[in-house]
Amino acid sequence: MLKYFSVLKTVVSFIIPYLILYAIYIQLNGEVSPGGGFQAGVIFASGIIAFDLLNGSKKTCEFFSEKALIICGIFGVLIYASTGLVSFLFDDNYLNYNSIAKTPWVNHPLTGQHIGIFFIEIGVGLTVSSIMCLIYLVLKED
Amino acid sequence: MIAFFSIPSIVDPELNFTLLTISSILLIIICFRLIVSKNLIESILLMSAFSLIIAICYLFMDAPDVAMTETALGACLSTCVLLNLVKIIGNEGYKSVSKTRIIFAIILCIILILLLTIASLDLPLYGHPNTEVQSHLTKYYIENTKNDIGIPSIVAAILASYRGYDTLGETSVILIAGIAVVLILARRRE
Repeated sequence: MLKYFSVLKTVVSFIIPYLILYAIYIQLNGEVSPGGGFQAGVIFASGIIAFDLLNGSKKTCEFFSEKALIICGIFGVLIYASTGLVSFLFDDNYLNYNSIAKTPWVNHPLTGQHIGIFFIEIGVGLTVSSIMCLIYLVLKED
Repeated sequence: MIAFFSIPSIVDPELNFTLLTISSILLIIICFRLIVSKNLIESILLMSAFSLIIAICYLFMDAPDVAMTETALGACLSTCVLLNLVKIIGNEGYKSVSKTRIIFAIILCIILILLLTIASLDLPLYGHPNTEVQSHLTKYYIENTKNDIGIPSIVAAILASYRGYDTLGETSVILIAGIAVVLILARRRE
């Protein structure tokens, strides 16, 4: 749709890498600054939508087909759920990240919380970005 | 360690309140324009502008997480999806509200505005520290996040650690919504 407007095309193709870099920054800094998995996923999805506006859905579906996107979404929920399963090994409640610190290669108790939050944010980001892309691509005409 | 990033702390409270009032008036103007617009694309762009301005309002109210989500989801993503839908169903050929019922609608709206104004008189003041909401659970989170979780962002600590079950449920709801959209629209493709 955008390929007939050269100014818009140049600006959008300039902005896409920065959008994706910004999404990765928000994902990795979710514990320190505002934002987290959900915001990072949505911003990543808007980067892919900008790519789709630029190049058409045929080229986007080469990299992000419907099947791959659904598998990515399920994989995100799986990462989240399996992070909670670690606490069953130490007779704790489900999703209690303090038990990650009881494994032999983590020594400080608050580090367990850090690792747990980092992994579940990755799961949330994966699910949200893939599902937002999926809804956009499915509702497209061609 | 920096406690929490917040942009509005550099703006003084008086200016903050003035900017909030100006954005609220802009929101009301956009709503009136949205009522009288008879073009689908125009309505969608007005809704996008509404989302952008209300995101700025959230930023003035010290909620950068919500502002980020509103900008990306309301102003960018949903606008793109709705514009694609307009391409399918066409810009013309939908009926606007018939003018015979406009008096009934006006009376209903005025009654609703009066009821909501009376109800809003009982609400606590915005940002007041001694309200019922701020004094119990919020106080606990602010005091104990540093010792329990050890990360600077309290919002992330509540979302991921204190309320881990809730976030797991939300993530599964998003996944189920996506799969449902694919299931409904799969028949159209064949």
